[in-house]
Amino acid sequence: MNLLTFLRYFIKGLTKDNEPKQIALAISFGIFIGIIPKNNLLVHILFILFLCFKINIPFFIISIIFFSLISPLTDPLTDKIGYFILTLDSLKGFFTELYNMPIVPWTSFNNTVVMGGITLSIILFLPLYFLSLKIVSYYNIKLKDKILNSKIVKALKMSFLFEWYFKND
Amino acid sequence: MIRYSYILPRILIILIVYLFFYFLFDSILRIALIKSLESIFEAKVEISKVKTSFINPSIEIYNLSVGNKNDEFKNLFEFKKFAFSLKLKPLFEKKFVIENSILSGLAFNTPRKTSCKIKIEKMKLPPFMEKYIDELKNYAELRFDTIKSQAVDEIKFDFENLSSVKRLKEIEEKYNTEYKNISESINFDKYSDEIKKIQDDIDKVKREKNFIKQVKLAVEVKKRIEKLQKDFKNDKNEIEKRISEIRFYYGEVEKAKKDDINTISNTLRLPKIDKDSISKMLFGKIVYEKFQYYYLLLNNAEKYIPQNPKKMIFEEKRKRGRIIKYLKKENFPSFLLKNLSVDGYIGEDENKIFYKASVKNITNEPYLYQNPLLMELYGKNDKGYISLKSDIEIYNNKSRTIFEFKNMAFSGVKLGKNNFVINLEKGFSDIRCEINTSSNIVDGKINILFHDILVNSDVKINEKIDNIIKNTISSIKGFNLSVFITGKLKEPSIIIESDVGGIISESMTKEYKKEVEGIKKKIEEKINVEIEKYKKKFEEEALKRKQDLKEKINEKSGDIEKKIQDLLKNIKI
Repeated sequence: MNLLTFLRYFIKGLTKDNEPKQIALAISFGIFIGIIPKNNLLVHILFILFLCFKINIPFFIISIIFFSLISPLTDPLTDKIGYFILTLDSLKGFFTELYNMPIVPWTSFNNTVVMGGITLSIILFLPLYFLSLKIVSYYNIKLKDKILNSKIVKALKMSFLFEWYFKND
Repeated sequence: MIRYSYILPRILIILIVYLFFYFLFDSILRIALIKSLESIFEAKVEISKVKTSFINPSIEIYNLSVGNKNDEFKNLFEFKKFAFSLKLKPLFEKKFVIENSILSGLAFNTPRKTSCKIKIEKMKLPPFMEKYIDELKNYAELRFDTIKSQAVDEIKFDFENLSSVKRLKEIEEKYNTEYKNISESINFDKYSDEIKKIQDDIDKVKREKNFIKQVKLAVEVKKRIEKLQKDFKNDKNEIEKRISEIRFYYGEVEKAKKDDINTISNTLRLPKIDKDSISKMLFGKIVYEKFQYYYLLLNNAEKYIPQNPKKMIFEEKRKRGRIIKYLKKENFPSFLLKNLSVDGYIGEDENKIFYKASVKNITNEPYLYQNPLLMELYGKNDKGYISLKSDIEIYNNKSRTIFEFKNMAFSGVKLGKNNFVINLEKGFSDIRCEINTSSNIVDGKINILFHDILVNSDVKINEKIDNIIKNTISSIKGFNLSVFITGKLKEPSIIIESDVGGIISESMTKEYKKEVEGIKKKIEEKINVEIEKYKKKFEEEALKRKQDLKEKINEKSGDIEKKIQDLLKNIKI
C-alpha cells in the first residue's frame, strides 16, 4: 500500500459516521475543547474521550477550530464564570483537595478560563446539539440535492480526484 | 456507539510503550548514566546493571566504578549498590522526592584490571588556574637550574672600579689638598714684614732724645715684639699640629672594602633557597592538580546548584485566564533527597577503614526546603579514624566543613618534578581540613602531618646540592604541610607552607654559608693585596711629604725666631 492509498483510506475513514446525530454530537463536543486554553491535560483527556464515541471526526475538528477562533470573544465571559465558581466558598474545600491531588492540577482546572469554558460548554451542550441536528436535517432535506447538482460539484465529480477517491483496491 | 477501531490501536501502542520500558529502558538509562558520568570524570565508567520500577518508582544501580583519569589502572571510586525510591505523589508534580536511599560498598582508589583512559574534550580552565599552573611550571623547572657556584679563581673584577679604591683615591686627593694648604701656610711673610716694621720703630726709639718718652716707646715696642713672638709660636704650633694630624682614613676604606666584597659575592649567582619556594616546588604540583580536579568537579556540580537560592516560587504566567491558588499541604522542591546512607571502606589491606556515612537534605530548591545539607562520615580501625562533618546552608549561602583522617596510610607519593623529586615510599599522614565559606568568600586551612615515613630523593642539579638534599631528606622522619585557601570562591589564593621546605632551606643555607664565607674571604684577600700595594705607595709618598713640611717649617721658623731674638736684644735699653 502506497502513501496516497493510505491517505485515501484515512480520509474515507474520517468521512464515515455522517448521520445527523453523529454530526451534531461532533459539533457539540468541539465546543468543549475549542473555547478553553489548549496547554493542559484536560484538553488531551477530552480529545481522547470524545474520539472514543462514534462521531463525525471532520465536523469535530472543524468545530474545535471554529470555537478556538471565537474564543477570544468568549474569554471575558468564561473568565468571569470560572472566577465565580473557583472562588465559591462552598466549593473551596473541594478545589483544595483537587489542587493537592496528583495529576489533577495538570488539568488547569484552577484556570478561570478553563473552568468557565467547561461550564459554558456544559450549559450550551444540549442547545448546540439540537440546533446542529436541526441545521443538518434542514441541509439534508432542502439543500443536499441542490448542492450535489450544482455545477461546481458536478465538475468535481468528473475530476480525477473524485475517481481516485472512489476507486476500489 | 463506542468506536473500537479507535480504542484498540491505542491500547496496542500503550502495550508497546510498556514493553519498551520493561525491556529496554533500563539499558538505555544505564548507557546514558555511563556517558554523563564519563563526561564529568573524564575516565571510563562501568555499571553492571540498572533496575527501574515505575509502579513503585525506584532506581537501583549495581557495581558502578569510575576510573581515575590520572591513574589508568585505578578507580576513583566504586560501589556495589545504590538504591532509592521516589515518592509517587510529588512525582506527578514533576518533583523528585527521595525519603531514604542506600549507597553500599563505596570504596575509593581501588585497583582495576583494564585501562580507564578515554578521549574527552578538555574543559577550559579559568584564567586564575592557568596562572597557577604557569607559576607551578616555573617553580618546578627554573628554580634549581640557577644554582651554580663559580670557582673563586674565575671571579674577575676591575680593581679601578672598586669603591674601596675610589675611596683611597678620594683620601689621596684630600691629602694632597691638605698638603698644599699646609705648605702654603708655611709662609711667615707677615711676620717678616712686622719684624721689619718693629726694627724701624726700634731705630726710632733709639733716636728719641727725651728719656721718658724713649722708655715709654721702648715698652710699647717690646710688647709688640712679645705679641709677635707669641703669635708666631701659636701659628707654628698650629701648622705642626696639622702636619701631625695628617692621617689615613682607613676606617672608611675598610667600610668600602666590605661593600666591595658583598657586591662581588652577589655576582656569584648563589641559589635562592627560601623555604617558601622549596615548599611550593615540592607540593605545588600535587596541590594545584588536586585543586584543579576538585575545582572542575565543583564546576560540574554547580550546574545543579540553584543560582539564587532565595528565589521565590516561579510566577504563574498565563496568556488566558487567571490562576487561582489554593493552600498546598506539602510543597516539595522539584528535587529532594532527604537521606542517603552510605557505607564502604577506604584504604587497602590492613589499613582498610570501614565507614558509615549519611547525606541529608539534598535539594535544588532550598527556598522550599530550607534545611541545611548535612554530611557526616565516621569510620575507624585499630590504627586510626576518618571523620567528616559538613553543614551547608545553601539558603543562607554559608558552609562549614571539617575533615579529619588520623593515620592515613599512603605509598608511592611523588613530590616535586623533573630534576628535583622526593619519593615518599610509604608512611602515614594525619589530615585536618577545615573549610568555611560565606557568600562568595572562602577561608580554608588544610593541615597534613606526614609521619613514620620512608623517604628518598632523586635530585639531579649538581653533585654538591644533590648530596645536601639527599642527606637532609634521608634524615627526615616526618614533616608538616599546610595549605591555605582564602579569598574569593571563584578566584582563591592558595598558599603552601611546609617545614620540609624550611629543613632543606636551612641545610642548604648552612652549607652554602660556609662556601659563601670562604669565597668572601678569598675575595677580601684579593682586594687586600691590591689595596696594600696602593696603600704602601701612598704612605711612602705621604711620609716623605710630611718630612718636607717639617723641614720647611723648621727652616722658615728658625729665621723668624732668630729675627725676633735680635729684636728683643735691640730693644734692651
